[in-house]
Amino acid sequence: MVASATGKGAACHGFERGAAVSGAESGSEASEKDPFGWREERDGFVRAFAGAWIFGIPLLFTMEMWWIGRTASWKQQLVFAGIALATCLGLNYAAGFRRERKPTSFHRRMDDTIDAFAVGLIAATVTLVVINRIRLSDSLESTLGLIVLQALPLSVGASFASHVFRRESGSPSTGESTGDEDQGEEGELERPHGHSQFRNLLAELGVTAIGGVALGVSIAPTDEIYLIASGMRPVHLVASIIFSLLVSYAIVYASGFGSRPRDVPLKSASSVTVFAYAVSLATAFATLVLFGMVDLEDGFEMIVAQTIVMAIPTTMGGAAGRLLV
Amino acid sequence: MSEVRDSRGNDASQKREQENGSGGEDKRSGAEWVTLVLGLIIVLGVLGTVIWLGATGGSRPVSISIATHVTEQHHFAGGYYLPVSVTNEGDDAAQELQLRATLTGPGLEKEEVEFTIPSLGGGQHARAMFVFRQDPASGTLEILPVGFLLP
Repeated sequence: MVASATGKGAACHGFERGAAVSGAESGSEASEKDPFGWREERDGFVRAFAGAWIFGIPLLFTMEMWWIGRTASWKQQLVFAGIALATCLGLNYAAGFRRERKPTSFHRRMDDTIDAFAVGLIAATVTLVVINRIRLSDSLESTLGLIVLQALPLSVGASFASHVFRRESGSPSTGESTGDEDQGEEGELERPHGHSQFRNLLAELGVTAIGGVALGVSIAPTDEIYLIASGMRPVHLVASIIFSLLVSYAIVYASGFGSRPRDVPLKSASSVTVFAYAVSLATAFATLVLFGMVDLEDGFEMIVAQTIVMAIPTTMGGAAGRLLV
Repeated sequence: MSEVRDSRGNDASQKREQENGSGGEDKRSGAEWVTLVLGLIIVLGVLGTVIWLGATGGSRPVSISIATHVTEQHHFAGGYYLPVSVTNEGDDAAQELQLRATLTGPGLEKEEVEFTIPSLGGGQHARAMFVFRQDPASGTLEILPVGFLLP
C-alpha cells in the first residue's frame, strides 16, 4: 500500500517529459512518427510494468504469498486468475495502462485486461526468478500457483498505471534518452548551470532516498529479506542489481510518462540511474540497520546480499519518488 | 516523411486521429494486434496448463519421502550436518510439515532433532539440514514426518 500511496503522489506532481508519442504531440505527428503504434505501445507496456512492480513489490516479498501460491489447488489458481481478470476489467474502465483515450468498446477493454494480466504473469515470473523463489526443481503445479497468485496484485497495479503515472501536458521537456533529438536540443537550451544543477541533483537524490524509505519500511522489518538473501547465489545477486537498474530506468526515464531528466551535472539518464541506485543501496542498508535486521556476525557476504535484495524495493520506491521532482 | 493517402484521399494522420477518436475507436493498431496475440498466448498458455494439470493430475494424499545425503555430510564446530531431501509425492499440499530425526545406536546417546517446513506443495521438494551432536554415520538414523496441516 505504501507503493500505491507513493505512486499517487507522483501522479499529482508528475512532469510531462515530452518523450516519444507524448500527450503534447498531435495525433497526426504521432501517426507519422509511429505509423504502426509501436512507440505508443512500448510506452504503455513500460508504464504497465512500472505500475505493476510499484504496487506489487511488497507482496512479492511476502512469504505467506509464496506458501499460499505453492499450496493452491488448480481450482484456487483459476479463482485467483478470475479475480485478477475481473478486477483489471473494472479498472480498465477507470484507468488502464495505455494512453488516455475516449471510451471504447468492451472488447477493447478486454484486450487491455488480457494484456494487464499477461504483464502481471511476466512481472511475477521475472521477479521470483531473480530472487530465487522459482527453481527448475520445483514442480510445475506449485510454480504456476505461485506465479498466478502473485500476478493478481501485479496486474491490478498495471491496470491503473496510467493514473499513477498521469502525464500533464504543457510541462517543460528536456532531452534525454529515448531518441527524440528535438527534445535534446530544447533541453540544452533550458539547462541551467552551477549551483542550481547541484541543487537539482541533491533534490533528486533526496527524493530517491525518501521514496526508498517509504517503500522500504514496509518490507525491511520482515524476515523475508534475510530469507531471500540467504538463498541467493552470486548470479542472483548480479541479476538483482541489473533488474533494479532496469526497472528504475524504466519507471522514471524510458517510458515517457513521468519525470523528465533533471538539470543535473550528470549528463545521461543511465548515469543518474546508477547514481540513484547507489543512494537506494545506502537507503536499503539504512532501513535494515534501523530495524535491527543486520547482524555484523553474519559476515560481509550476507550483509551485502541482504542490502542488494532490500535495494530492489528501495530502488522502486526511489524511482517512484523521483517522479515527484 | 511522405504522407500515405488512401483511395478516398485521407492521409495516414487523419486515419490515426479517427482511430483514436470516437470514429475509429475499435480499430487496433498493428502493434496492439501483436501485443494482444502475445498476451493471449501467455494468459491462455498459463491458464490452459493449470486446467490441464488439474484435469490430468490425481488427488493423491500427501506422501512424504525423505532421502539423506550421507556423502555430503560435514562436521563443523561440534555438530554433524546431514543434508536431506524432502519430497511430497502426493498431489495435495502440506503446511507446517514437521519432521523428526532420531539417532540411536550402541554407545550413542539417543538424540532427536526436529524441524518444520512451512509449506510443501504436491510434487514439490525441499532440501534441509539436520544437525546432530553425534555422528549419524555411527548409528541408526530414523527420519519421519510427525504431522502437517492441510491447507
